[in-house]
Amino acid sequence: MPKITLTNVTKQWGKFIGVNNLNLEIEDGAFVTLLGSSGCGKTTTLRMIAGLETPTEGEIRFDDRIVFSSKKNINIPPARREVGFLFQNYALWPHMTVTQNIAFGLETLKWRKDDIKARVAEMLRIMRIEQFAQRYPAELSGGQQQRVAIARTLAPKPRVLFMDEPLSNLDAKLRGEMRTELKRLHKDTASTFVYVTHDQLEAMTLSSKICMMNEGVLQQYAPPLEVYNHPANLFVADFVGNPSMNIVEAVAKKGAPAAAEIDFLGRKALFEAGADFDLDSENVSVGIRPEFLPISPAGDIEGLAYSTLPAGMETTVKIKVGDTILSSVVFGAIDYETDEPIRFSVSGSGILLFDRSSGQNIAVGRLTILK
Amino acid sequence: MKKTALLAAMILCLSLLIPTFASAETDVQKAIAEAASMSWDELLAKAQAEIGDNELHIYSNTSRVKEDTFTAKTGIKIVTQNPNDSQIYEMLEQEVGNNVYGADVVLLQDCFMLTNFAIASGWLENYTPEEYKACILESDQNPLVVVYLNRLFFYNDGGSKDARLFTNVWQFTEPEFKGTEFKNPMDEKSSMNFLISLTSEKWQARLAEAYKSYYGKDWENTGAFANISYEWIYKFLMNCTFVSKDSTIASDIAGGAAGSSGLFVFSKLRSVDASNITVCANDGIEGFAGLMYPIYGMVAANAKYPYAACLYINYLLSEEGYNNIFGSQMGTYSVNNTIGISENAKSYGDQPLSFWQDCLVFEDAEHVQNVYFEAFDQIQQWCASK
Amino acid sequence: MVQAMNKSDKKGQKRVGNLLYAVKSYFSVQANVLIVLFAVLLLVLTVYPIYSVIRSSMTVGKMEAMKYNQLLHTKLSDGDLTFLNFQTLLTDKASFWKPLWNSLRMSAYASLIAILVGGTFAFLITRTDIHFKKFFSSVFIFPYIMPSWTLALVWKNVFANSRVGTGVVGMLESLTGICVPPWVVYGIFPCALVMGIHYAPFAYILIGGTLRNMDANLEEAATILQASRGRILRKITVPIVMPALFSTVLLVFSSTMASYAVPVFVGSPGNFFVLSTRLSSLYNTMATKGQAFVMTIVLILFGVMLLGINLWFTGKRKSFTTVTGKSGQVSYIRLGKANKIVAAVLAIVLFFIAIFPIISFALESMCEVQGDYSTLTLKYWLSREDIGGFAVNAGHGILFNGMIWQALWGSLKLSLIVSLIVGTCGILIGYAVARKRGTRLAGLVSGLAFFPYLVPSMAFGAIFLAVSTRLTFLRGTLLLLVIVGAIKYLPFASRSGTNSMMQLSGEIEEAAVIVGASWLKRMLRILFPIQKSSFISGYLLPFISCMRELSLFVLLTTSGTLITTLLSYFDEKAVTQMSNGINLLIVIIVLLVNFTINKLTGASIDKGVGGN
Repeated sequence: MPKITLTNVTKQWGKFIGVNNLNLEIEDGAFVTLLGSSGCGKTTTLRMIAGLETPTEGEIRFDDRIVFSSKKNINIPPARREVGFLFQNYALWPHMTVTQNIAFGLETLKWRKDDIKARVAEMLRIMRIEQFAQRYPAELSGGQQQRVAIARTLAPKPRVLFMDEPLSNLDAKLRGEMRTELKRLHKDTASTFVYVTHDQLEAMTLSSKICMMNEGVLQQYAPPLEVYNHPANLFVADFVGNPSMNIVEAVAKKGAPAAAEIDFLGRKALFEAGADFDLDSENVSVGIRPEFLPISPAGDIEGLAYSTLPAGMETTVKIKVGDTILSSVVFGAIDYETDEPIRFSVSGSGILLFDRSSGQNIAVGRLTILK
Repeated sequence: MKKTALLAAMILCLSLLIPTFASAETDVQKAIAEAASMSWDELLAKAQAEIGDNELHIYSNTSRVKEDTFTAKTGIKIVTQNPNDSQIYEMLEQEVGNNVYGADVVLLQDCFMLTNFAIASGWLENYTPEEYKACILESDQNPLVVVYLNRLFFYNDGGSKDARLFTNVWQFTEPEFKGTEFKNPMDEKSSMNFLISLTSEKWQARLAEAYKSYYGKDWENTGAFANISYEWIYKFLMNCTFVSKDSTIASDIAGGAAGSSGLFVFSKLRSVDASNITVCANDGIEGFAGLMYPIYGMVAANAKYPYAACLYINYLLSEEGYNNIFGSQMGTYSVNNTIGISENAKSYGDQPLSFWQDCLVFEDAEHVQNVYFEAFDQIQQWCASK
Repeated sequence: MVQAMNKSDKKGQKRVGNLLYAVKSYFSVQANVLIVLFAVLLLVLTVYPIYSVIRSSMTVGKMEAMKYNQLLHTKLSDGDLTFLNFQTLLTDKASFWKPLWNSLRMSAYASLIAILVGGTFAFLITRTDIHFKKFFSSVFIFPYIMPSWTLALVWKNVFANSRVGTGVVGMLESLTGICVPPWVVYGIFPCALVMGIHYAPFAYILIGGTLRNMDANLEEAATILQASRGRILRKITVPIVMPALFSTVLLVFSSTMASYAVPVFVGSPGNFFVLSTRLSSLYNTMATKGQAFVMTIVLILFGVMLLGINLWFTGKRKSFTTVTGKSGQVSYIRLGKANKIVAAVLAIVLFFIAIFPIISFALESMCEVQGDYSTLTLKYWLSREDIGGFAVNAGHGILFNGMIWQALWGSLKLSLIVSLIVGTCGILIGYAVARKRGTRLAGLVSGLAFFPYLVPSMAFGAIFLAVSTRLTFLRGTLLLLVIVGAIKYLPFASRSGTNSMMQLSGEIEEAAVIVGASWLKRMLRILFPIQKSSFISGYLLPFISCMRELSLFVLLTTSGTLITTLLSYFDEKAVTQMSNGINLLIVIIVLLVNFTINKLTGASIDKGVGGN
């Protein structure tokens, strides 16, 4: 299994820049998710790695083998990159049966007839679609079509498997099931998966590393929990996590090393980080995950219960403090009266400090409200 | 230096001019001149030697020229192409005009175009064999007419052969007899030339006579029309119905109500049930009974096989050739006055060319030449305003 | 300084290298190769005819010069440049503006009728459970297979009555005594209707193709949202079939504008004159030929305008991709009790527009006296001797007539070669245009491919006659006919190719790219089979048109080479039995080809339309 390296990859259509100077290293056997909203360049990136799109500039390597280089005029066609690609709309060939769909790629690769037969049978079994072998795609449900598409993609044993929002056409329940199966498939096939999605939950739950993109620019490339806990900037912080992170605008003054005094929701607070940091400007944003705002009668700050959303296992409480509305997630079911006064604190060591103008993360630490 | 350049230029100019003077007579012209005085056998030998196993190319606006009797007789293979007449002129312009070989023999109609376009441009040469000069009217010898075709007024007599529904050509201009079917002069050159020929003094007089007999008074020039012919033409055009095919006109009249009328080529009569159809000429209609137009036979100026071309035209003028190609049908008349009409044609009431001479409007090359564009423009406007 | 030079040298090299690389990588994509190739090819093959048309419209010929000199006292000579042709024609109300207005009305009505008839039919076939689908579907294309004037003939035979024209009693009157008013028999009404019905198969093929390939879920989704049927049709179905509708309008409108036979047949007797009939008159008179080219330019401009609208639609990135490879099931609307009634009405209409003309061809080929069925004879088919009588030199009966078989073979050969070339080019153009959708080059190619359609056949033939006097090696060869036919009929194939390629999502092909299927294999194994039926109609339409084309080829080939040139021979000889018989033969051959292809490939023009 190869390691995929993208060096300074740029894709331009006329004046429009789709992907801007992207550097990325996808480790062997990783499950990397390209995450971002539509139009952020994630699909383009995927298609460039697969060879379906030609970058305007840059270099792409599979291990030491250059599959694309604008400088060296190399552009290996997709088929010779030995990759698999799972399309958003499955792209099953409507005039072929399930078996023919799966066998087509193997025939193209000039496999022996017996091997093809065996491999198709194996794929049908793995994907649990044996009974549909002779059906046409039109005669299958969406979920079944998805399985056929996966079977077809995996059949030639690709070294890398690319997936372009493969679950977006499925209903919520099927999507959940397929996620589980994809994760198992990743383990079973031991191949590298590169996965495009705009669903942060999918990215969080599936991947070994998330590549967060916005407007063609890489925002952060890190394992899911790191992206969650230490987002590189406000954009990532806001995109990942549900309910979204609370972003509170505040004024900060550098105090002792690795600490700052902060004007937070009208209160004085002390921010203490694990390491020293610099403040370029006193205008900062404080990022607090909802789970770091525990509600208790002894809380430091007072607010009003703006709205309560119990989901059974946990409850999201929207708290109104002045003009700001914060989200807090509480384990278990609680129900507050609307506009009931409640108190809450800021807890934990995962409070984030961002520079407001650049949006960059400055420090991670704890926030203590001063009495 | 200047002088030598001038001299060189002058020599160049002269050398460009000399060939045109030197070759006052082309090979084709020479061959035609020779062929004109040859007997059939001499010409045949010359043509066979010239063409060998190759094909003689013929452009003809009548597709009747497809017969292999010529080949059977002479051993000379022919290939025909049947564009309509304006297309033939186009082909002559493109081909002979660029000295690209296309055809040897050209059969075509429209006296005005032939004279002013094709012959004036030097694309066609005339061949009139000496042996036939005596039996062809001099006016038909240059350019040579090979055959005449007519288009006659017919009407549905409702089954009574002595109905005499149309006795005067002015009837066709009366609303009472509206809808005489006629081929649009804008599409059919013989219709156009017929109307233009009609404006000659001869036909003005004829129309005036008929006018007087029909309306019981002399025609007066109110100034609306240049002469009586134009009045007839205008009223006829406004009164008639344009139909595109002779066969349609024939079947419209055959199946139509008594009194329906139209002009179509005589030969089309044979494809419909003619029992209810009367040809106006038989009723001795006053004025005229239709029109007659010639098909000319010419040799292309850049013919590859001029002797064979002459041989073919010669064949068309002979009794055997005429009968093989046109003979059995009515409405077709050899320009060779020793050849009569067939028994077949007689059974449909056809008459020899001499009979038609007086009652049909012949395409009048001389008159057409004089008034063509004025008349054409006028007729075009009337047709469009219909 | 040396260093600086080196540097700039390297820079230059790099620039050249980059350019080379850009070119190389551009052409490593097949769609790019194709689009450039066709852009160049079409530019050469269509720009020249257009240039010729424009030049001819501005130069006076010998006869024109004579006319202008005599009438307008100008001093022009052969070949002079002038705007007089424009001036003369464009200021002539009676022979230009009136027929133009007539043409526009007729074409608009014909397009509307074609869309209504063909669209309704397509809807019935693809979306309802109507009886005898297969039969209806294959019969519906007959009107297109037959020359348009046959339908006009049928119209006249049925509706002519004692109050119209010469008073020939038509079928309707003889059966019921009803006399329809004159405007039903002659004039704009029958012209538009006949043209509309003649081209309705276009609408059926194009609209039906989209409807059949369209995910029924799209409609069902709207049904669930409780939209009314009318609303679904208006808001969902119509917008999705919009490209097909536009293609239909484009083809029908320009075809009708250029159509000659029908307006002459049922228009002129009602004093209804259109641009094409005027154009033909002007064209066939040397002294007015230049004006005919001015008219041709007007026709082309209208075509370009329509094309512009069409391009604006397909060119927008707005995706009309319907075949994604994620297929939904099609559910048919149940007609229930209405089924029988609808089927019966359809059967009657189809009988008159599709079957009746064929029967009348057959009968007329067997009547000794036209229309008199007591004189039936098979001699015009079976005689092993010369027919004799008046039909002198007509040769043997049709079935034993060497001349006819030779010409038939000539037409068949030409049509097959032309359709193979044109159909394949159409698919490739469709592929290239669909893949490069939205780019200027794609717009150019798809526009250029349509141009030949706008140049009237007569003029087109003449232009290539002129070409052949310069490239003499082409003269009289099959190659010349093939080239002319191929260019003239390319629009059919490129339309159907583009339409069907537009419906295929890129993913369908990319799924095969990924597993290393070569471009050829992708075309042959994936793209072609999926849209097999529409592609095959891209082969069949040129075939049919070519089989019955005369005016395009008449200047370029000797008579007897093609069956249509022979047809006019029998016409002129007034052996109508033979010409009717030959017409029947042409129709039967086209139907046989259609049927054979249907049996062999499972595709045909009618079902054209794409089912599996």
